[in-house]
Amino acid sequence: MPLVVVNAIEGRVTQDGCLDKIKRQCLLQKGQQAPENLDELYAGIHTVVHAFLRLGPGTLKPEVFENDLRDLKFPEEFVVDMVGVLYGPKRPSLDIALLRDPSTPHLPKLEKLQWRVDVIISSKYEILISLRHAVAAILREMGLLEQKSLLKG
Amino acid sequence: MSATLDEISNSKIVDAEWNFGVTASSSEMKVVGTTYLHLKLLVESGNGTIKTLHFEMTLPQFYSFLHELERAKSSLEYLT
Repeated sequence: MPLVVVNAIEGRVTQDGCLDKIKRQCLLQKGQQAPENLDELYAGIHTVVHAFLRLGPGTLKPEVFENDLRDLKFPEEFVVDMVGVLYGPKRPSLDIALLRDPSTPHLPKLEKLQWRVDVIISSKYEILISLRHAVAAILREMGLLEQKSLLKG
Repeated sequence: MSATLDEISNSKIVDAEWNFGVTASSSEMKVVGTTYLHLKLLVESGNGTIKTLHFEMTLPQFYSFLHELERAKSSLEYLT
C-alpha cells in the first residue's frame, strides 16, 4: 500500500508517459500479483492529491485532512504516509511541477523584458545637420589639400 | 541566414531603406553607446508577394557586408 502512495505521487512529479511501467515494477517488487483494481487505486489517490494541492498551502489543517481521509475509509498507514508527503519537504516541488504542467490553467505572466532606446543619426531620406556639417568640413579640407598639391607640383 | 538565402534565391530587391544610429539606453548595459546600422530590404519573390527583410549590424559587420557586395559587383561586371 505505501508503495502505491509513493508511486502515485512520484507520477505526479515526474509525469511519466507510461504509468503501466511503474505499475509493473511495483508488481515485480512485491513478488506477487497486485490487486486487480490498482488502476482505480492510483486514480483515486491521484484525485485526492490533486484536490489537496489545488487548495494551496496552509488552507487545510493536517488534522482536518487526516480525519477526512479516515472518514473516506483509507487505512491508517496510508493516512500517515499522505500527511508525511503532502506536508513535508516535497510539497514545494509538487507545486512547481503543477505550474510547469501545460494542462493547468493560469494567466500568462511576463517572464522577461528587454528594451533598447536608439537615437537615429542618419537615414536614407534625411541626413542630420551635424553630419552635413562634418561632410562640408571634410570637403573643404580636401579642396584646400588639392590646391596645395597643385601649387607644389 | 542561410535559410533566408534559399528563400530569396528567386526574388529581387525592390526597395531598400537604412538608418544608422546610436543606442542611447538599454536593459543590457553593454550595448549602450554602441552604433548600429539597420537595413530594411523590400524583396519581391517569384509569385509577386513582397516580403520585408530586416538586418541589423555593427560597424565592422557593415564593412564586411560592403566588402562582400563589392566582390559580388566586381564578379558581375567581370561576367557581363
